[in-house]
Amino acid sequence: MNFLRQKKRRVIQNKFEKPMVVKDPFDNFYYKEVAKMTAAGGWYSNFKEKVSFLDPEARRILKTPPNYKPSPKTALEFYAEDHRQKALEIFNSCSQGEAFTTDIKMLTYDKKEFWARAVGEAIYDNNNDIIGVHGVFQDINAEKLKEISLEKSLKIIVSQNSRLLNFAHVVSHNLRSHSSNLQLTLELLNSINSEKEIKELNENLLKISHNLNETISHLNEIVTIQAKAKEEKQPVNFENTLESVKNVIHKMISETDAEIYSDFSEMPTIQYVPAYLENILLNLITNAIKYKHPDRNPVIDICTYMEHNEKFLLIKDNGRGIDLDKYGSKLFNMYQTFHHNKDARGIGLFITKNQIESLNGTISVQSKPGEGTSFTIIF
Amino acid sequence: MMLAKPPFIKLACIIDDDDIYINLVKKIIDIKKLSENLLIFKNGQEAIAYFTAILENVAEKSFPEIILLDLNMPIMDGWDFIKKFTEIKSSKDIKTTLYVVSSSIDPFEIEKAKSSTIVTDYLLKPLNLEDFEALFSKTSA
Repeated sequence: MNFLRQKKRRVIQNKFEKPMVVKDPFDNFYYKEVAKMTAAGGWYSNFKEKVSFLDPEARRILKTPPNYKPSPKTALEFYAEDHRQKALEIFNSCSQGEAFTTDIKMLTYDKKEFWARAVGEAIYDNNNDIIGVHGVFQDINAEKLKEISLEKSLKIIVSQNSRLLNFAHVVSHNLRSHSSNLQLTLELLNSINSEKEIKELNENLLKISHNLNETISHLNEIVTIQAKAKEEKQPVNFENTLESVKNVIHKMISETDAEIYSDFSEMPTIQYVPAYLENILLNLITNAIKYKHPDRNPVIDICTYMEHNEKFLLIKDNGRGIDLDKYGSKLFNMYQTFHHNKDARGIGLFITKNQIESLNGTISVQSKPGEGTSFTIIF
Repeated sequence: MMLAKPPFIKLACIIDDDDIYINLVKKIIDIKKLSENLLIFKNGQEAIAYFTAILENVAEKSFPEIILLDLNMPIMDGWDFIKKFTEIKSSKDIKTTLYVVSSSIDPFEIEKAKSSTIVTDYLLKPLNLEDFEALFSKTSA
């Protein structure tokens, strides 16, 4: 930062004490080279004398035409539209005497955005009245873009790390509960003699080995999600995917008299991993049927749409709903079941969420107990 | 004639959704004569419903002396049970020892459980026969 201030001082000296510039060519050389090397340009605006000035480096950075005359009236045009408000506020408080140091998005004369680091302060006359403002800005576009992309990668890494840690805990927890049962069963086998008890414990061993197998296959399923996400995405048709899902569960649909309505006209296809979209639809539809309201047949509405340039899939049911205040934070966790249903495995939504997130999407839920549930997926 | 050793305590309680585990603990309590009676609940809600009912009707003596609580359960998990049970305990004079018995090695969960005023300790599964014996004899002492 220091050299920016130093340079600013030079700009002022050069411009306000003209004789010195002429006298001191070395100063001029250093000043120019520093400006070039650091890509830092100076500017100055005197309200009283109505003079504004851009130094050669500033003109180079902003790509202004050779005879360009800067003016406070057009100064804002050198700031990116979404940063103009910020620039205006900074200049207003600067002309009240408040110095600034900031990173801000600027625009060249030919309207190319770039990040700049800017410092500035008010100019005072001999009576200590503010007569203008001056400052220096440095083109930091390359490093700022790197910083932004680094921040992005960091965010992704942090979220991946926390998912990995969570997965490690899930793995440890699930394997441990089986190994714990296994150990207890074996200990008991060693300390009892009754034939009947021994037979029971042997049955236990079978059950434990079955559960262990199941857990491991679930864990496998989750690991393959990450691997599959790297597979090539391809155009997937919502209508066709829904049809094939309906075929898989046609028995369930006819047994419950479930009605499924769909409208994919706004976005009929999407670039996606086909197996994921099928699983997402399969899982959310079977959930809607499994947790139907006891007093009415399941009605499921499915649609796709675009909003703010984002792609949405909405799946809404009239089922029994879920108390999100109570269970919301756990809904997508592994091995969480909320109903007394025997076939609830507590893995479906966990896998669905993982599949969506592995392709950088999100899933959210709204629900009212007794009325229904709707899932919103942003791809 | 040798007299059979009397059980350590009168009433114990397990709150856990793992059937195999429940069966095993039942057998251990039986074989080692750790408790005369055993209450079993498949989730926190069943346990809270029962406790609320007996506290309204019966003398508070019939409360389990030891509760082994799992964390990861459907309907009402161990955390919500701890919250609800803290409320119940604050208004009644209940002498019970509550152990969290879980397979989770998540340090955050362990700290959270230990920091609860009504949880005596956090025990990591697997517990072996001796561990169970030690727990029950400690409670009876």
